[in-house]
Amino acid sequence: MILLLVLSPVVVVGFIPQTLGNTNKVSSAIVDMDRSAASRKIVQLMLSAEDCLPPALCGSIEEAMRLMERNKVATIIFIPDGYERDLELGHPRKMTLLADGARVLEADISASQLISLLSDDLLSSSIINQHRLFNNYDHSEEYFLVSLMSLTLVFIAIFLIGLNLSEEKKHNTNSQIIVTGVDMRLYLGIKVLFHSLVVILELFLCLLLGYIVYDMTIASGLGQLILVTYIFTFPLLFVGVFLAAVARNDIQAIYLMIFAMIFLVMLSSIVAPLTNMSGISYYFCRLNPVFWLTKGLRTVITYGFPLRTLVPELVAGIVLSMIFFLSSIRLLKRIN
Amino acid sequence: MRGVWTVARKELSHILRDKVSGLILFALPALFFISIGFAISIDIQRIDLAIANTAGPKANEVISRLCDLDKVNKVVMLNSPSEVEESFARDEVSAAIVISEGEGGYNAPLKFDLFVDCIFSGNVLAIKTRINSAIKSSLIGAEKDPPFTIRYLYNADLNRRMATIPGLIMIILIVVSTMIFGISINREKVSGTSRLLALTPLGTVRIVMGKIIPYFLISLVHISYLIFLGQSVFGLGINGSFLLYFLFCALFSLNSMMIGLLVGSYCKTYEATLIICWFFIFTPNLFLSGFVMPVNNMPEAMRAISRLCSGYHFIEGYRGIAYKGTGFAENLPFISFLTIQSLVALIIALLGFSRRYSKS
Repeated sequence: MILLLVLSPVVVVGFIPQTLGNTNKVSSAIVDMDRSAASRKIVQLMLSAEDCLPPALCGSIEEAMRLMERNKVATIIFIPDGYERDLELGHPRKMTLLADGARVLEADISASQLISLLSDDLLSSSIINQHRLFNNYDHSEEYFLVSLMSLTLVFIAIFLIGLNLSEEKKHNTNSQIIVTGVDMRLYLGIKVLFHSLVVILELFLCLLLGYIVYDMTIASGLGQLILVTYIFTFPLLFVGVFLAAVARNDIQAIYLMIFAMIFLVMLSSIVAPLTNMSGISYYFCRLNPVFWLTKGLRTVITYGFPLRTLVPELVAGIVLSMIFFLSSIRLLKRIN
Repeated sequence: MRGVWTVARKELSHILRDKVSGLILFALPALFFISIGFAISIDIQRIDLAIANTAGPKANEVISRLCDLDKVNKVVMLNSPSEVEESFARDEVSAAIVISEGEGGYNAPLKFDLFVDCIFSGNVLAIKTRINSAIKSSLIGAEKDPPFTIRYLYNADLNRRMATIPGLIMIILIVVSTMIFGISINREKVSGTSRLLALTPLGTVRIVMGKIIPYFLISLVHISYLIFLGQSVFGLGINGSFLLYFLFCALFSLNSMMIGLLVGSYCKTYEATLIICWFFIFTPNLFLSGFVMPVNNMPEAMRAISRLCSGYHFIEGYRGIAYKGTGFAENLPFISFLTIQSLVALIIALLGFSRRYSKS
């Protein structure tokens, strides 16, 4: 168990972000029906572009379509016959860009990249100065690094204590503790405190891996990070306690925890940022304790914003913890 | 075969005995599919913008264009450019723009400084393109036509749900077929009933088959209603062969079950089973399958590793059959991988099963 707890961040935090650290490379096929100097210039432009993989040159649209069907290319550029002639006459014929709509994200990004590569965009570059904030690279490695740290901590916080309590319920340990006269609040409180320390240990392990593998630094300082993680871990621990208290048996508890976890994870900013949430889910995410933890980690590690920006989430976290704590005690007392 | 059905019936009664667990197993995946299908989008849904204008009324038209931009949800007017960084923290904006007068007095063209939160690179291009195009159109009128006519194949309107639905189906099938099935295998070990089963004359293969059948039937129910919900709620039909699509989903489910069988039979506790399922199966499949980030964007060496994830093969095959309408031959690499991985997992599980399972 301890070995697994040590190994899991190595895989999740140490390895997975490496796979997510690259930018979009447009994979394309070119069907050049014109075979002129102008059309060859387009091919040359794509060969020299950093954002493009070397394009596949196809003799017909059918050949290019076969490549797309086999997922070899995401876009096809069709240069019509007479392209150079019409260009010289001053009314250039349009090329056709076919994008693989089944791979929506790649199609969308690739189309935008090809348009900006092959269009004259002199105006915007001269009058709009663009400044990148919080990330100097074209990839989201740090975003996902924090996401995966959060994912690891969330699992430890919800599952470990939840499984521990549901096993105690199964073996009637809770009833025996009540009989001894130990205050249930004290008992649960100490259990939660112990598990919160496990979460902090796991945080240190994640930070160590982040530092060794990715040279990750903390923008605001280690003290603030521990404080934020500690505070936002409590609502998650109490979610685990609450689910274990609500469930009638251990299997029910496991089912509830698994589904609660995947709902909470998907509706946090672990997979996609809050700005990508549509409609009412944007507001629902703001009530999600996993979102609070992830936002807290990002605020301290990546942005370096002051802690006062987290005040609404901190207050909500404390309130939610109290609600879950008191309801769990009631439920456990009633069951026993 | 009778022995297999006996174990299957026993397992099914275990699942359905507790009505709440049964309800969770059937209702929550559907709820997850619908709610997350609507919630998550691969592209930016709202742009919160901060604007600092030092150019006076000259910039009013540009500002009004920026305010009317598609997906701009909130506009915060700043008193001075020095507030830009603070506004990212205070107002949680995704971008800020400082408009100033260019050099050369009042008649000089406006100058723009665009600050974008680049932490999630997937949204940067969308934000920059929208703001650039609003500024350009307010300065020089309608934008110049791109040199292309763009057509999206297999998805003419670029329905963005197409990107998320295969990933959500993958998550549901992994949760039900790997995690929950793995736990059910492990439960027999933890509670000691595996010893009793080992004493019966059924043999390992029949016990395993008997345990697989009910969960496989449950996953077929899941696949059926996910197809129905995909069509009725999200309007995503199946362009290829329906039978091939159904069998492909069933194969992925079977593959996930074999992995669950392997994990459940080797682990000693629920905790160990869940840790392995969550960190070593669910998380890699979530991030490396192409659901969160296209596999083609990954570094060359890492692509090979992502191809070891069954989720990658499921998503690629799903897109091929359901969206592109490709047939068996085109999807043979994905089908072969899933089949071979399932067989390897089954063989390893069976090899250690009788020894480890009965020793619980």
